[in-house]
Amino acid sequence: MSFIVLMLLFTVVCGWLDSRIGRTTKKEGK
Amino acid sequence: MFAGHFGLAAAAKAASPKTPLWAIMLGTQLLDVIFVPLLLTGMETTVETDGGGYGGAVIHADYTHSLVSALIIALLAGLGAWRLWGKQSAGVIGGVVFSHWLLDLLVHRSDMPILPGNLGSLPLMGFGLWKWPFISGALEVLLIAVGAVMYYRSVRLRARNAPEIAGSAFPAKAVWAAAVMAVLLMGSFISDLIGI
Repeated sequence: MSFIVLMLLFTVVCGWLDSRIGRTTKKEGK
Repeated sequence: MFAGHFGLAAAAKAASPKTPLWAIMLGTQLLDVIFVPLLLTGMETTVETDGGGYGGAVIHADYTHSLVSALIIALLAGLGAWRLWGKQSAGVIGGVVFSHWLLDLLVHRSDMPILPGNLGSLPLMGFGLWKWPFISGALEVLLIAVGAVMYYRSVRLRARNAPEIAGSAFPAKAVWAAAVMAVLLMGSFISDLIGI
């Protein structure tokens, strides 16, 4: 059952880091 | 197959940079996310076989992992993505949700029904690569390696366009994001192997 907790943790951490790159690219595009 | 699904998510993000990574990652695991409450309530079950351990289980997920259920869940997830992020993301999210069923088909023993609840007791599907852990393990390693490399190349390209780091060959944000992704992919594979 721990896999679901790990899955959510991985998703949050990777999603957050990736979104920082995404925002930077948007600013660059203005 | 926890790691293999995430490997595919990393590759899918590289192919579709506009779709949020969290949605792709959640999408690849969505059938298992729905499986958990059904497992807790006893509607779906797992039975250890071949001594348990990595891949050592017959999984009776007749509602979440039937072919028709997977198609319906993928369709609904795709429609949700369409409303939120547009047509291209809809295809990506629908595709990665259904990819879970396809990857599971490779490794599961014959325990995946066609219709929800194994209606009509039709033949069960599953090629059973889990019976040969080295082969299924190698498949997962291949998926996470390809996913990690594709993801790194993708984030590097995106981050290089940022004004504060323009021209940098190895933008720090890209390196961080890719490194964390690689560590988490390897962590998910270890989690697969030790069965947590």
